Amino acid sequence: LISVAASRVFNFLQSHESFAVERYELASTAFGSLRRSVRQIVQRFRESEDQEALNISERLRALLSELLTVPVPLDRAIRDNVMDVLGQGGDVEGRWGSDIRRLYAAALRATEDLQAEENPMRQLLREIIRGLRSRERMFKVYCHRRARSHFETLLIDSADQPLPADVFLHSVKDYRETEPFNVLLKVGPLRARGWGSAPDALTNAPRFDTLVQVLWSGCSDEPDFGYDPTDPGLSRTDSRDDRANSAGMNGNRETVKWRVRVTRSGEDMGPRSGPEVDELQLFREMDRLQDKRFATLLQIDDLSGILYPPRSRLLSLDPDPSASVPIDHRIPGEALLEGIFLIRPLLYDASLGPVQAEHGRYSQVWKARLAQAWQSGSFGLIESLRAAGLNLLHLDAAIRHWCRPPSTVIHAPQQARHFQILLTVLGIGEGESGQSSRTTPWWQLAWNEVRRSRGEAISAAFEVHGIVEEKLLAILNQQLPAIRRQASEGRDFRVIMPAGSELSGEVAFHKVRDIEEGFAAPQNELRVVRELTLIDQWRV
Amino acid sequence: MTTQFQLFLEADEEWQAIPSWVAFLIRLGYGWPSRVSGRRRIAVVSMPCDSAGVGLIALGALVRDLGNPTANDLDQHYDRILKNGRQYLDSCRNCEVRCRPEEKDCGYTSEATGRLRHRGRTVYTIAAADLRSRRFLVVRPDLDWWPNPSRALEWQIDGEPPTRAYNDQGTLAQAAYVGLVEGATFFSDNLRRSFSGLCLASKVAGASATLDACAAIRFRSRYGDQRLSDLLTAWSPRNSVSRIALFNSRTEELNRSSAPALIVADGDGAFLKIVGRTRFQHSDVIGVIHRALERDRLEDVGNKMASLRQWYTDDHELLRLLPALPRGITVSILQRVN
Repeated sequence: LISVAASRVFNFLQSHESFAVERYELASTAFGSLRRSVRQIVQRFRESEDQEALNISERLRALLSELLTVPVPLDRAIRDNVMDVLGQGGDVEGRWGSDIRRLYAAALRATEDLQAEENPMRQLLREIIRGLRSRERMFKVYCHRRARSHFETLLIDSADQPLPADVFLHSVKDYRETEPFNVLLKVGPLRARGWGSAPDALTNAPRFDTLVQVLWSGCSDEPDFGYDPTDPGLSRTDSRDDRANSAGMNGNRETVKWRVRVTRSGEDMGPRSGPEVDELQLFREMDRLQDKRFATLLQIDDLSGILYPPRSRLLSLDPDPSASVPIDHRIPGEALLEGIFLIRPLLYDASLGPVQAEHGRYSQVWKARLAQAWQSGSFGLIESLRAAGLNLLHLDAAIRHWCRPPSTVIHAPQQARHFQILLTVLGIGEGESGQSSRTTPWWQLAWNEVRRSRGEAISAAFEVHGIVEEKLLAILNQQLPAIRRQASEGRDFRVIMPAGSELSGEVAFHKVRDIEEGFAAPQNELRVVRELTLIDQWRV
Repeated sequence: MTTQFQLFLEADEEWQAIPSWVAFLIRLGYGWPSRVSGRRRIAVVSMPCDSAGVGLIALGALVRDLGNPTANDLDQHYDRILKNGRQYLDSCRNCEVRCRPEEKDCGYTSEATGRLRHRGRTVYTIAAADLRSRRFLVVRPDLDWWPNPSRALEWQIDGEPPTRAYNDQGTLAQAAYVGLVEGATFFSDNLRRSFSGLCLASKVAGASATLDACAAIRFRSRYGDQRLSDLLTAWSPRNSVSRIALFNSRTEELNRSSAPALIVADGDGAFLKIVGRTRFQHSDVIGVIHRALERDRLEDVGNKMASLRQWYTDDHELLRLLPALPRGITVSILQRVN
């Protein structure tokens, strides 16, 4: 159902001759230094053919993008994050050379300097929110769901009321369902996709009279933000009357007009060799040169999600009892919305071995062994892994991650080669409990289990055997009453293929938590379950 | 644009004079050129929010057609039944696929069930045809149906509305439409006749989604209160006159056997489906989208319009004829070059 009466929206638009943008641009020497250093490392590693360097580039890029679009505290955690990616200084010089070592040192110095004062962006946001409250202006905050805590922690003074949940807008759907209000607060530039993205409707269909935008200097709004398919050229917040009138196609339209006021504070005194660089724009350009596909994220639990090519038709279950066709192919964001269950088949694939009824059968063995080895001597384990060729920088953090128990996915190294080394060093091999095949090595069976948990196996099977999906659909429809009962509980669940049916294995039903566009990922990263922290690096 | 004869109500709001955005959309549908021949047009109406805009444009076009003496299915009724029967006997009766004509590439655009309803009641299945002249059908072993056009009006293709109302209960009330468009005239015979030349394409979520949105809008006239969904007649009871065909964008089924001249599509997904279907390649299309959408979806529509510009040009003339666009609505209209 339509949640906001159209007449309300039109009355609101009609009652405003123009709308306002109050744009606050911040600058800081230390922050500028951090940006420049990290950006240069990202660029240099991006040109490398070394997979490790590319991984570091992606992670640093995500880190910097977050700093530019989220009001994070600039505390010791920033320094730890940078070190977490690159490791100790001595290692860095030995592995990547003196140039990178110099940039790295500059970045770490900047993170030290930044800790001297509170993030000026957070100070400013706090002042703005207090001001809005004192003037009794009804305001909302548009931010990513995971950026929310950084807004909530702005108001820790006992004199401040906490920000209520309904202040936050996290998606175009949230925006669509919001009644008109006074002020929208947005951190970062206006972008349609990726870090800090927001709906184009913010500027071409405003439901507020004032946009308060807080951002770091050098960050620019996307030129085509506010895109309208009837006239892609006439949609910017800086549109003026003369520009609107010059559009011949819709000469009799009443354009939404914006008045922009810019306030600059702080200064970046650091050395610069040229004009300010917009890193978000730069990263986007870098993506265009890579062999990546645009993708839409379906978040299926607090930690995991799956990327799909845009407008994929995905098998899904509508739990609404009145749905006439509960199981159907739906397009994310269109008919596949939050609350609908994504259906993920985990079917038998001869090349991967049979699906185990108990999730994580092999992982229980190797994770227990890994945890044991870690507890008895982390340094020795790291040395052994490095000597065997698992040469990831900051291996300690990775091992702690792999020790975590399975959730939707089994946490493990990303590459098969690394996984094999890990199990070899742990001494897991033939004759291990769980061995079910005389021809397939134990590590391979365990790796298949990891892959299967990520959905890699079945996606390949489906591409080859489209017919399987038709059979699956028939089987699921036969079990529909039971499936609906399970779905009514609102939690993820699994359905085992009945004995005697043409298909073996099980089908996972994941309740979709969130749908988000604005990703560009390698082809082999699509349709598989990945952790959100990993997926973040593919935001455009 | 408002009129003393009609008031407007949306969801839980107060009754009010017809607002300018509603009047504009109705007027857009009313002013859309009836196209017997001529060049095809494709338009996108871009709204600032989700709405029942598609129903309002369709309502305007429906009022326009009520004043057009030729806007009915009478002339084609007899041929449509024969054509439907032949398709059933020649192809669909023995077809193993239910029913994807475009996949099967059988040359038809939809399934013919071979079922005919007599005076809105009993359903018969076509059993045979005269093989020589093919001018009659046998709807039961013992019941021949001869090529008599006046008698043909007692029959309707099952699932479609009666071409002409069998009694007064299935007819439309002119008073319910008076005052929606200033100066609109009505051809009273049309109130008793169905029409398949105008079509409403539902949201891709299904016909009920569009129905719900249209049911939330009401008009008050001397005739009483009417829901937009009732005025549209796309969801009318079985034996009532229907002046609008319904294309369910989810199931991709059209509830009539002939292609409409004008299709008003609800949402970006429906618009893209309609524009891409060969079945509707000669129909005018008005897509009603809203801009509170993800960028990819907006760009899909924009890219489609851009690609159409290879063969279409902006119809500035029709745009100039429109009333002033309310703030927040933008319109793009393309017309086939030749």
